[in-house]
Amino acid sequence: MSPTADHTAPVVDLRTRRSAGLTATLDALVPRIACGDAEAFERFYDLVVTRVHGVIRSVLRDPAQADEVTQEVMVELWRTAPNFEVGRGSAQAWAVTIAHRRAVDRVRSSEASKRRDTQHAVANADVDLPGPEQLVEARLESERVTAALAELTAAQRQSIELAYFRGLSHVEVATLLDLPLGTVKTRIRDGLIRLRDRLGVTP
Amino acid sequence: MTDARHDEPDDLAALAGLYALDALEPVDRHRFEGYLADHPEAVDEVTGFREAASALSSVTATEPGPALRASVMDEIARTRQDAPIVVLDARRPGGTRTRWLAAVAAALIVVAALGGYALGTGGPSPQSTELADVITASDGQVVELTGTGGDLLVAFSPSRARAVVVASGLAPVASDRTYEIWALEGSGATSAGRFRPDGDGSVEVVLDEGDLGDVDLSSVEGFGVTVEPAGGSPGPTPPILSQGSV
Repeated sequence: MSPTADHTAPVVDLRTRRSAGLTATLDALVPRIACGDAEAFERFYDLVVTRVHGVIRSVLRDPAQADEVTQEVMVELWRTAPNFEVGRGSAQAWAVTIAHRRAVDRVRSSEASKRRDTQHAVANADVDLPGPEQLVEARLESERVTAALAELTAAQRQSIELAYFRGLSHVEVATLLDLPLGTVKTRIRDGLIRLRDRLGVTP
Repeated sequence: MTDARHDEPDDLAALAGLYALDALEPVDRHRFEGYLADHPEAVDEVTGFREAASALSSVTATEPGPALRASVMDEIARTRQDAPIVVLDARRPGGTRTRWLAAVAAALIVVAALGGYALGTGGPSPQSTELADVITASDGQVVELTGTGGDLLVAFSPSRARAVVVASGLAPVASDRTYEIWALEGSGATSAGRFRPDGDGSVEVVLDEGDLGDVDLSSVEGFGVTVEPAGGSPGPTPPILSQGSV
């Protein structure tokens, strides 16, 4: 590759590469964790905890509860690492998926869910990007994801954001937006397909 | 929410996106998980959607409370990990297992034949004798290793300070690579020896003190197999191809 080509390499490639490096690092740590390697787990923790915690906090809102669930999730990752299926998605998706699931389970099982301020959820549905208190460790990746989200239709984005960041069920999303269930289902599915393609996800 | 809003049951395939976002109500979630069990293509779709959804987590990345890290590390030090779930591969019905059973049976016949007498010349292979010796030792144990690397059997006895590895159908390795077996215990993995399968992928190898080195067979919790450079490695190079717990 010529020096010129180096200079003009698109920034987005660097971002993808960096994010791919993180993904590969996490993937490589899991088999070691599966062998009981606590040092490997500490590295894994440091690389993934802000994402795990951010997802939980976004769904639960309450920082103390979010810390509690984050601890449960990190310990669950340690405990279940021996059964992580290599080749069925990335280690990062594994961690974040468990985090989201546990946060949603908690919010739906708690009294708090009945008192959730749905109007607030709607008001914040469209844009809820990181505020100053939120870490920007994953900033480049975040910009890439934000750009991908921006390519969805507003309707797709709204449904996905309510479901993912607020942890609402599709029935709740439909009720909130006063739409038929089928419409919400289609929007989420089409939106996810587009997101998956824009992010270059390889399952 | 009203009943009229519920989906028709024939619509399950379309729920992958909602499932990946944890946006299904509990009843639908269970129905969809039942559907996933016999629809591998739906599993692939969910996997892709989950990768995309989990990428969204970069947007909300947030540092937890400062005390959390120490608290988690403290708890994992007290938390025993799950044993790997052993799922024998249905696509290879019994092949490897049959060979193990044959090897074990042969070893037991050797034991019976020995009957307290010294072996004459032309007896069974040294490995079979070793396997018999290890299996019939009072502290002899047998572990099945499973995974993408294939299925292996490890028999070992702390009092004999020996382990015997039996396998068939292992993939060949390049001439500058070797299989390495690791003893898994507590916080780490210790090399228990290296081996190369023969032409048809079979292995029957005795690991003695020279191979086992620092491995303490009385406290070993499991074994794992990796492929390493021919001289071996200080630690297992991921992925661990096959493993099993004592």
